[in-house]
Amino acid sequence: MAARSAALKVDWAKITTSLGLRGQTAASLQAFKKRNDDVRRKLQQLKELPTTVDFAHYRRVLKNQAIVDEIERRFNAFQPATYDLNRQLKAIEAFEVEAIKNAEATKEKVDLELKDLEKTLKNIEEARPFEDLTVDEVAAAEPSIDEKTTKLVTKGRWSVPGYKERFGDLSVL
Amino acid sequence: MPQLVPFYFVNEITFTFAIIAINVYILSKYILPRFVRLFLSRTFISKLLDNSINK
Amino acid sequence: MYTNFSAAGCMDNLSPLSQFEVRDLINIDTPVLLNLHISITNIGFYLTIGAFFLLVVNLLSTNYNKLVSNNWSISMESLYATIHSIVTNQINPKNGQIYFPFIYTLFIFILINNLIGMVPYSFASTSHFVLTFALSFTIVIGATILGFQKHGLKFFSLLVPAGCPLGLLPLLVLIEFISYLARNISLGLRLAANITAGHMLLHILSGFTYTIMSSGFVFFLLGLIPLSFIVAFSGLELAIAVIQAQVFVVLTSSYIKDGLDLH
Repeated sequence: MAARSAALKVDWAKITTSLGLRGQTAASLQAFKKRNDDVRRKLQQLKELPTTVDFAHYRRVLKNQAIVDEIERRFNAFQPATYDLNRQLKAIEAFEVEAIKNAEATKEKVDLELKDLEKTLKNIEEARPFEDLTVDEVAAAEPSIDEKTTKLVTKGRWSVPGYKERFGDLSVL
Repeated sequence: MPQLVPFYFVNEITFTFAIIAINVYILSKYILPRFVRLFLSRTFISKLLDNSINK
Repeated sequence: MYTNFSAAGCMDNLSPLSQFEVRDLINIDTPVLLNLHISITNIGFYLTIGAFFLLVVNLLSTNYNKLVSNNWSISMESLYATIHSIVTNQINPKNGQIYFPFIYTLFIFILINNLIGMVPYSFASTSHFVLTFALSFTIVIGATILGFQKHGLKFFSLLVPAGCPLGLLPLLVLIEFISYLARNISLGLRLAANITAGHMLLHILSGFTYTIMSSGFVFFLLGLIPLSFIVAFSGLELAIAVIQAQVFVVLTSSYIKDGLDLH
C-alpha cells in the first residue's frame, strides 16, 4: 500500500541530519521508525500464516456437527475490523497545522528579538567608539543588566557565570 | 606592654566595630554591585559582538 | 618603668613602646553624667582615615565607568578577583559567596591599617591587641553560632577528627576542644604580634643606628650597614603587612567553612 512503500523510501538518517533535529525530536523520530518497522514485520509474519479453515476436515473428525456449523457461520460472517485510516490521517493533519502555527509564532518572536538586539548593537556601536563605552550607556541600552545586578546581589552571588573563562582571571593567587 | 592595656578599650572597640560595620554596609550596597554591573555589561557586549560576527 | 617626659602634645620617643600609645585628640569629660570620658583618640582618627581612604580609592578608580579599564581599575578588579577566589576556594563555591562583602571589608580594613602603620611617624592601629582580639573573638564566636544554627547539637562532631581509633576518642576530643578555643586567641594574636614586633624592632634599631651615625664621620659610614638592614627590614615589614591580612582572611574563611560544613 502507499503507506508501506513510502516508509521504505524514506531515508531516516538523512531526515535527522538535514533538519538539524536533536535530542527529543530525533529520539521520537527513531521511536516512530521502530514502531513502523515492528508493525511491518508483524504484518509480514501474520500474512504467512494460513487464513482459511478446513471445515470439511473438522466435520469428519468431530461428532458434534452443530458446533462446526456454528463456527463456520461465524467464520464466514467475520470481517476484520477495518482500521479507520481516514481518522488518523485527519488527526495527523490537524497536528501538523498546529505545529506549523507554533513554529511560525516562534520564528516571529525570534525575529523580533534579533531585530531588537541588532538595533541595540547598532546604537551602541555607532554612537561612540568602543574604548569610551561606559557601563551607564550599556545599562541604559539594555535595562535587563540592572535587574540582573540586583537579582545576583540580593541572592548573594558576587560573580557572573562564564566571566572567568571569557575574560581571564585577574586574581593574584 | 602598658600602652596596650589602658582604659581606652571601649573607645577602640567601638571605633573598630563602627568602622567595619559602616564599611560592610557601603561596600555591599554601592561599590561591590558596581563591579557586578561592570562584569555583566562586559559579558553582554561580548555576547552581542559574538552574535554579530557569527551572523 | 619608663621615664615619662610627656609635656602636652610632645611626642614621647624615649621608649620603643611609646609609638603604640593611645592619646586623646579631642575629648569631652562629663563629671556630672556617669563620669564619662568620650574622646576621639588617635586610633579612632587613623581608623577613620583608613576607612575614608578605602572609599575614596574605590570612587576614584572607576575610570568614568568605562568598560575598558585603566591601571587603577585593573588593580581594584584584581583585588576583587583575589578575594573572590579566596572565598570560593575556602568556603563553598556555590553558597559561600554570601560572605564575600564581609571578607572583602575585613581584608581591606586590615591591609589598609597595616599599610598606614608603615608610614613613618604614623600609628599602627592593628598592633593593638584589643582591636585584633575583638575581631577574632567576634569571628570565631560568630562561626560557632553559625554552626549551631545550621547543625544543632551535631556541631560537636567538629571535635572528632576523621578516622581516629575509638579508644583515643576522649583524649582527642579534649585536645580538639582546647585547640578550638585557642583559635579565638591565635587569630588575633598572630596579627597584633607580627605588627607590634616589626614596629618595635624598627624603632629600636633606628634608635641605635641614629646614635651610631651621629658619633663621628667614620661611625657615619659604619652606620650605613645597620641602616641598609633597616631599609631591607622595612621592605619585609611591607610584605608582612600584606601577608598577615591575607592569612587572617584565609583563616577566617576556613573557620566559617568549619562552622558550615563540619569538615
